[in-house]
Amino acid sequence: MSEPLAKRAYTQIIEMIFSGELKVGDALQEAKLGERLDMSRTPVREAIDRIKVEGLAVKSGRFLRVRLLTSAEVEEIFLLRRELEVYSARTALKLPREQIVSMRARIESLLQTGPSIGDEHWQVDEAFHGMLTASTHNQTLISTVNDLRLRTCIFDHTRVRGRFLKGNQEHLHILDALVAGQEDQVMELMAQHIDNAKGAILERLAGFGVSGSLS
Amino acid sequence: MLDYAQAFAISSMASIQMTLYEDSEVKSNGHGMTEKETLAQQAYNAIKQKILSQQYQPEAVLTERGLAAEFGISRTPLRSAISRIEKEGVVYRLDNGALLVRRVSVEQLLEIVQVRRILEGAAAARAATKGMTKGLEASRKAMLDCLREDNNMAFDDFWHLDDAFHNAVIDAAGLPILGGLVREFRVTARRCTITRVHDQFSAQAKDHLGVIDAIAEGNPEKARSAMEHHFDNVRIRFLNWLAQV
Repeated sequence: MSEPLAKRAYTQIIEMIFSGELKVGDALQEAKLGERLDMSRTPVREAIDRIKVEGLAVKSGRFLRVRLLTSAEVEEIFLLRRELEVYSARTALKLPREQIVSMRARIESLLQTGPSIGDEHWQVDEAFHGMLTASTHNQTLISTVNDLRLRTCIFDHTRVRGRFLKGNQEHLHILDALVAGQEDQVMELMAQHIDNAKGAILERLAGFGVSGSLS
Repeated sequence: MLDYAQAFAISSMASIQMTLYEDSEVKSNGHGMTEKETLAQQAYNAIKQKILSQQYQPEAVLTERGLAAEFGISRTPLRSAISRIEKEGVVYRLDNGALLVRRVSVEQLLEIVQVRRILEGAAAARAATKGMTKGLEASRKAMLDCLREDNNMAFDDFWHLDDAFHNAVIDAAGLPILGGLVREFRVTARRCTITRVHDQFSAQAKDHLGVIDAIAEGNPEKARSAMEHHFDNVRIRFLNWLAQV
């Protein structure tokens, strides 16, 4: 975000949603949240805007209210991603070897250091998927995949246990298949990777329960 | 977490999220806006709306002063809105600072066709597993009518029927997010002059009927193929037209 303060506000509001302090249906009010977070309204407003763009808040009556993704939405997001990213994995077969090798190295390094270092996990994930979509040379496709990924970015590794290790291992297997030039294998592995990510998020969503907060 | 500026920069579809989750007040009428939205958001919507509806033409010059006066919005929120639209690539800046509405290029058009081919192909396959709907029946009837009266059909009339067909398939597939994406794609594509060339509507109508028939048969792979074939034809038409320029 353009301001570290707005970013902090965003992170904290998301945390409030996950912890249940803000329940599904609760209004997101600038002034109230500003007080709660001890921040001025401007960064809070920017954070709320972002939350709205990512689909986690919706206008209902006079206010913006917290909403969670429904499982139907998660299913659709991943269906669309699967189609576009399997296509991207195929075009990635023509990527230069050095690029794949260097991505591999970056992922191995991440696996060494572990998930706790700041944004690195998300950035590597972005870089991996971005490398594949970039190989399509289709800016519209790239933007569409990025938009779809944005909608589930709150479900990062801190909230979906187990995906850090498995997800990155899956990344490595896909890279290996790319180097080996195995088209069917590449597409199958990518489809599987997307399906696994979806499964983990659906599971996490289910944990939100009827009350709209994590119980 | 993603950088916020990055999020807007990389996602030209950010505005779609608005149309998905908000009421129609955002888009419906020229200056109609709600107080609850920030001024920057209002400016963004208003300017974007005028560009998409082609009230601002491609290559038209926009000035901050002119826009501020037109919408009665002060410079700061206006700049924020403009910056966002600039990041989406919908407007661009000359060296002298002038803002121009970007023309929709053929390249972008072909990109859209490719993405739609993939996603709507999947939608057609999915619709075939779910069965015929009223929307698809209506579209089938409309397409059969088209075959009969093609020569007299105006572009706008066919565009609406084309809209209805694609929406019917996506609805039958139960994919509302895709519906939003395709809506925005079509609005963008329509800004490109190539789409407006008077064309063989009957050929397109035949393509549409092929998809609907496959869905009615309950054959997912055939439906996907038929839809992909349709977009292949769209692509060929555009390239042929280009070849004559």
